Amino acid sequence: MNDPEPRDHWIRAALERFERRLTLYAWRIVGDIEVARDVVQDTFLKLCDQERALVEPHLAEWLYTVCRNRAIDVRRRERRRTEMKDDQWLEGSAAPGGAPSAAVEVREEAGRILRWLDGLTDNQREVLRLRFQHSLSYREIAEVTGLTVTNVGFLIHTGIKALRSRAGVAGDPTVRPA
Amino acid sequence: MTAYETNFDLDDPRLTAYALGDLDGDERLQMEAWVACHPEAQRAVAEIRAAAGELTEALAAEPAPALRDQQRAAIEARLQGKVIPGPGSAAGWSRRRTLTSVILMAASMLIFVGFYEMSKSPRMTLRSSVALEDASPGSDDRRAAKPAGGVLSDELAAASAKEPGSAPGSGEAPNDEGDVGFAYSDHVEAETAPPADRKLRAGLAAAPSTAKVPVPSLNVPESSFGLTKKDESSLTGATAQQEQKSAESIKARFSSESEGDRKQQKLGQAGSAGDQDGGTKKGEAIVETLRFDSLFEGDIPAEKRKAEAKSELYYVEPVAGGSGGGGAAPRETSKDTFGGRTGGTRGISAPGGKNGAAPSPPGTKEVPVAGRPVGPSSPGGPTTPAVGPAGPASPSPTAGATGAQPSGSLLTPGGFRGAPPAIPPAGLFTDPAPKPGNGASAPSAGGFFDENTERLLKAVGYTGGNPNKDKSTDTESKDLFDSTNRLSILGRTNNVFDDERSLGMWRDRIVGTETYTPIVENSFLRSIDAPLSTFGLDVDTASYANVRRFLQAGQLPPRDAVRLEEMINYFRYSYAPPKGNVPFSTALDVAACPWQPSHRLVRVGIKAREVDVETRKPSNLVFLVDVSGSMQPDDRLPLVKQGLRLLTKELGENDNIGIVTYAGTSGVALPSTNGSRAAEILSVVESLTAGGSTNGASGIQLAYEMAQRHFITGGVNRVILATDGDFNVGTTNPDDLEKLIAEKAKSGVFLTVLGVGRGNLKDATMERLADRGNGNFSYLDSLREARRVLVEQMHGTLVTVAKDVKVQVEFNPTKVAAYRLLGYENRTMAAEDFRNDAKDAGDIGAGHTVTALYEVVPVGAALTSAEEDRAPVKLKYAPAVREEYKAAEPKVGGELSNELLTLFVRYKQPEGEKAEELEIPLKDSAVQSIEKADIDFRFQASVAAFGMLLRGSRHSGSATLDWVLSTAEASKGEDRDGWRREFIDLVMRAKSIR
Repeated sequence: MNDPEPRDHWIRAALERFERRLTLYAWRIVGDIEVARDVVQDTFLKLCDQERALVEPHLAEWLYTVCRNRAIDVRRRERRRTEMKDDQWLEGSAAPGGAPSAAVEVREEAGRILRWLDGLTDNQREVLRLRFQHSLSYREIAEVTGLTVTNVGFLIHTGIKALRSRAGVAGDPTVRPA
Repeated sequence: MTAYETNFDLDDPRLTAYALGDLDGDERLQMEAWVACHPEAQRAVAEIRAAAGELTEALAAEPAPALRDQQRAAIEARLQGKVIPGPGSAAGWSRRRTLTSVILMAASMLIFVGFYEMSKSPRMTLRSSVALEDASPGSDDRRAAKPAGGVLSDELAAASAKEPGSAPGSGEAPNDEGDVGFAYSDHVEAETAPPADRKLRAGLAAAPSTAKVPVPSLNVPESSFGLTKKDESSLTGATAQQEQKSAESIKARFSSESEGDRKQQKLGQAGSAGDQDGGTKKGEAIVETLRFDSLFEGDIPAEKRKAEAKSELYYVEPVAGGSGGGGAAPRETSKDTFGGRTGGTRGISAPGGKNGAAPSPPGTKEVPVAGRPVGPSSPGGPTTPAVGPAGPASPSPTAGATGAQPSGSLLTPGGFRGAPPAIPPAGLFTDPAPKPGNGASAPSAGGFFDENTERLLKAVGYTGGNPNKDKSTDTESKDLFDSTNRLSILGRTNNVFDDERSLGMWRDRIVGTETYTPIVENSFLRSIDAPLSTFGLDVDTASYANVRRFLQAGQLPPRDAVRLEEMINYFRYSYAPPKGNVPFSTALDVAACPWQPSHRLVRVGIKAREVDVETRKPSNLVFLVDVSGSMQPDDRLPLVKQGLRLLTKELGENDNIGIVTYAGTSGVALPSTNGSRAAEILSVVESLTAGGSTNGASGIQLAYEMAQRHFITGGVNRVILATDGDFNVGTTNPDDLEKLIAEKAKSGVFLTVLGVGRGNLKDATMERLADRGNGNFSYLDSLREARRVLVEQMHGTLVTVAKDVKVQVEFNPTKVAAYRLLGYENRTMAAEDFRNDAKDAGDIGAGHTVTALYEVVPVGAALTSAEEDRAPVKLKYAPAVREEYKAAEPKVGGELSNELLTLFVRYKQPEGEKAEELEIPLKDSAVQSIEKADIDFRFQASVAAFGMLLRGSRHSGSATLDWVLSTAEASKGEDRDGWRREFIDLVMRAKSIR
């Protein structure tokens, strides 16, 4: 199995490194773990067709962007096909969040933070996750989400600010940027 | 380190970025220095890191599932060259996407080649970098499927990609994203860029290499990000060269001018200094200097015009305008560096032209606010009505260049609004030379402000000397004296509006953070030269509400905020209702012109069919509500919510309403819901809150998608956009937004724009959007206005009875020596476009009345000075031809000789594509005084006069606010709604502001 060909090797390495993270990310978007896996598979199949030199310098960015677009695409199609209630696929209504965190037992404090996170806007949640769960840089996040770097900075800033002040005020978790 | 600016605060997002290690370069160093000497900042950094650690830890606890074995196997198989379709539609998807991307690539290449043929400008490097990016792996995907970037569905993307030839640039533009936004918007106008514009471009192009310059903004890296990294150096090099060239040509041009030269230089230096200063206080000071300098510039054309100078007028004018924009830009910058606002680069384009004289470091500071350029459009540009051929269209390269400013101003709101609305963006690539007619009224802007101030002073009772009637060649110092004198007479130089009001024409364009497209008032045209007056109908009323807001706040409105036709059309008039199949009635009336008794006032009145509430068509409304942070004040989102509540009560079971919100992200607040479920709708309306930043593009997309999905054939399908117009974050490119809207309008979903808020109003953008979307634009300044627009006029606002309504008036030269259209400056169209049904124009809604007034100079009446200085230029060859032409033409005789003019109206049924045409002649009759005209006519005359006084029009003749007041009071009529009463109140307010 130790294919000596470097082209394959880098893709395998990418798979090892990003498979789980991307699945988690896609899961957040599509709300269904199996669909998320399909999305990630598609993402990697697509990676197989890429020129290494073009993609590798910004591999994470590339993977997250493709994965995200695919996930959103799939989500849109799924909702349409199953004729679910109008527009639920759109951000703001059918938030796919909650599924993973609710399904799993986590330490209590972590659970509180995750619940707090679920109370945020989709945008803010996604940005915070990309930064603190997926360790993307501001700029990478901007690339992946299509937001501006400024916007990303602002969302993270207000998110962290709210989290800092949350210690005292466990009540309202929502962040309301000025 | 201490030399750095250290004005951070604890709530600066950059502090968070710094704590998280996400701040780079000089910003990091600055922040480090600042934190080092602020213990509280050190604590904040520690807290941020602690919180981040907590969050990271919590998120790490979430399980991250792996792929299933068979999925990994499928990937492995692909790696080994086998094609095994995975679960789902993986392979099919990939292939189709590949196909799409191939098509896109091909389209890009086609466009690229096409552009290259059209212009061998070095700017093509930029374009090629975009093409490269298109072709680069992954980008096709991002473009095709990324919703945040305002992207169409793949079907659409593919479809548009297939027609690269029919609409150059439009194929990819709707797919534009933030990251390539600059590159795209850039290439769109790049090809025909006049020198002045190249400066801007160079600035943009130079951005990547200068991103490390210590500019306290995260925006910088972002703006540069979109440009392909590979091509940076060649790109900048090439453009810099080009820049150099155009700078030289400009310089050459300048030095050939004897008169304005010194000042130009001075201005140029000041301009570039201002640019370089970014947002510092020094920048502010220079703004002031610029204003005074521009004051001279404003005066020069007036003098020159009288001395029959021509091309200089075109030239100087945009420069003055530009420096104004440039002056304003630093202010914007200072405010906006980090606020997520990106509008700050407006105005750079024009100073660039001047910077040519003193080339500034290649664009380093012009880009710091990674904004969409919203430059002031050239007054000689497309805002200029396309009128008769009388204009001295100079063929000199300079005039050509400045005439081409329109293409630069396509960046700007002005570009589109000013241009005949139907000129497609593709027109960017057409000949930039000004139309003969375009030049005709351009010069008028130059000397405008003299008259402006003078009229205003006269209007408010100041009867001092009139410096402008002095035809001697004034020296600068005299100009300065006069100008400052007038300033001090106004006596309110500390008030920004008055201050700006009296300081030349350009400053109106950006008032505070409000943006207005400059209006170059229509001038008198000789009917022998230009017998046809053509314009698209405008039923918008936003300008009046906006003017009212200013006056009620005790300020005179910026000149360009006053659109005469919108003021007149704000009120209800009792024209006879239409009969038969025609969806509207038309009426023509004449009276003596009250402010110029030897002239006549001709009224064109159009009244659209009323639609009963009962027989109202089912409606499918999607509200697109801006919920960004700027919408928080009471006069914004809360007002919109109140309006929505009122509207909800009016909805019935035939109606569907949906609500899409947009801020940093877009979402559906309310899926399309039947109007009978009011409680549900109201609860969603209640829940709307403001917060976040604005990205109009994807929201508009969602809204249109929803409207299309619930499309009611034969019904009212409309997206209603409620915003303060501050589309200023990230991916929004105004051109793309417009293209999108124009595209969607074809599908039968129309657009209504409701503007709210003050201080940040992007009047120009919003009106333009409404225009492109077969829509209308209203400004909500009060609950009362919200009720008027959303409830009382719901049918009119929402039910279109005829679309693309164009008006053409042909004047009989044997009866009419000259004429002038009051208002409709941004609706004027070329005569030949009247019967070009591909050119779109305004729509008319049920029950609307639309009025247009012409001031007509009968044959034999003396021309006033105002007309004289509009007299045709002396031509060496043309007169002979004209005589010949006249002789060859049969004399107008018989019946026709009695006709003053003929009105042609062309329109389409709302769902039709076939145009119909009406023809109504107006017989010349004994002229009656305005006092004997019907009260509507009298009231209209008073509104027109008021508008002219507010605009400082030089055509306002003997009109005074007192006359307006007494006439309006006498023609108030029944006034059931109290609107006319309110108008009278506004006139009194204007009188009291001095």
